[in-house]
Amino acid sequence: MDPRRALAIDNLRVRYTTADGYWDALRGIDLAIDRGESFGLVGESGSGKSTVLKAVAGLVPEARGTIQIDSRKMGTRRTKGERRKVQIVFQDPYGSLHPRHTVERILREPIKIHGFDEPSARIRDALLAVGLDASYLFRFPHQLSGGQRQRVAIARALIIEPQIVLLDEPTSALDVSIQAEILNLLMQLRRERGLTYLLVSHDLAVVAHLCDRLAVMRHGAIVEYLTSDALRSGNVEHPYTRQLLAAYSGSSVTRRREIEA
Amino acid sequence: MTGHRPLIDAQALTVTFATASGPVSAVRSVSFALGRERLGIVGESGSGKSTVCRALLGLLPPKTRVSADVLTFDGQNLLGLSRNSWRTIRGARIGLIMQDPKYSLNPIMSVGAQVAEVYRFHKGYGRAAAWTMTIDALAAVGIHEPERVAKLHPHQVSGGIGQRVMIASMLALDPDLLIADEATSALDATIAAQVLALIDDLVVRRGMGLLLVSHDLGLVGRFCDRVLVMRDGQIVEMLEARSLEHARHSYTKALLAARPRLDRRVDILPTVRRDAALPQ
Repeated sequence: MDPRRALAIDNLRVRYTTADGYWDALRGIDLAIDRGESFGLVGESGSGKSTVLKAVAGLVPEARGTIQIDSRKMGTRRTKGERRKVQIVFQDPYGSLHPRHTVERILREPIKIHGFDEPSARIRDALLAVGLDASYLFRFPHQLSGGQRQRVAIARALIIEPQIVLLDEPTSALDVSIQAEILNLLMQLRRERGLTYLLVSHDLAVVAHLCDRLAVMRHGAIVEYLTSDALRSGNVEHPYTRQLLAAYSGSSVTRRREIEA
Repeated sequence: MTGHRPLIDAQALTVTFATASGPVSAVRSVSFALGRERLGIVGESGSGKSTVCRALLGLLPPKTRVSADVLTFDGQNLLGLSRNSWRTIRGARIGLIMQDPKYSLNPIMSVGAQVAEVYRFHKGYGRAAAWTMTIDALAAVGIHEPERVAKLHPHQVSGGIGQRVMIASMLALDPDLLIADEATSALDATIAAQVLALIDDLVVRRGMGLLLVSHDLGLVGRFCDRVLVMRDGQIVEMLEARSLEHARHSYTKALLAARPRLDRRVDILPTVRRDAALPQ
């Protein structure tokens, strides 16, 4: 495999059993993302975007097909070292931070699990990297604003030096002004550390802002791969992508049509 | 927009919460009138937009002080209303749709039963008639298989369907004013567009007033007739929605500039300078 590849996904399929049979969450996904690249996944709820993230993180044991990280094929059970390489930042920082743990304890846990040295120095550096100082160390999540919580969640993901960061709607719960701060932070961190991002968002402008390329998903499959520049110029092939773009820019004609459909 | 008296007339509305560290005014001397039109309120978290809505619905915590020179709904004074009087307005004449249907719907009742409850207890229909009305109401909000969906529980329906169910149960009472507080923020863009189109259709067809609260400036600009921009409990600007992109106030401009854009590439997004004294 190309040594520049950070992540290669080949024919990824996920089938869940339900009460009345089964449901194909992913029907053969192919993705190749280079080191230091930022790649976006868009599509409506239920299209399988988040399932791709979960599978890359090794949280879907029933996944079929292959996932290669750093040219190494991932097995059904990941080693600790393999898990360290991929970290996730979730949409809702309130739900993803332990409510009874201080910031310090939240950041210390991954260090302990992965056996890193000098925990206190690492925690301090991780906080500084996301724009928070030591005065936040002993606060609980409810004592932080939404933007500060998301900074802590980013610090927790980065503290064990992953190569790939999975971003699941990282700014959807935030105000535009806070969103701008978090997006700037994510851009800066990627540049400084050469991180690879896989971003899921329903906000096309956020995806175009943060990513170089993206894939449009629908019903568990990718319908189109395109560059952010193509998305910006409306240079898209698939009718579904066009529909997403129209819904995004809110043309009233589309709105009316969709509701009658 | 008929020439009758406004649905909502608020002059110098102030809402003060009693907190452990003393009184905090979340809304400070806010004045606006709302007719049978689509009025948007935008602003960041903590700007007071949701508090304005709660004041109009009498849904503030007990020790909250609400004062105003004028605060009326359809000519009726809303200041100092009794709990019983609020019940004749809230739900019945002013409907509310909130952000997350998962929290607003009862998790252990089928969605149909929840809509039917409104017909039975507010409108006095019998069980069978209420169910028939419910199926019609679900169909009216664009649910394709209303009989099947009516029997599902909230966790079995998607966010878009859940929000349609909320709208259906609210419309059962045929309110004059609809307050949508971040009603589409939890939905993805295509579903949000459909739910908004539905609300728009109902507002236009039934001649309702709409108060749409959102932190999404683009959405409010496209969807509303007029927009109020709030910051720290005050209205900083009131303008025609179509001229939102050309707002004059520095704060509105800063909010607009902070959005990533699809039409051009920006390397670093400008951020909004916030006051040092923000409540934690």
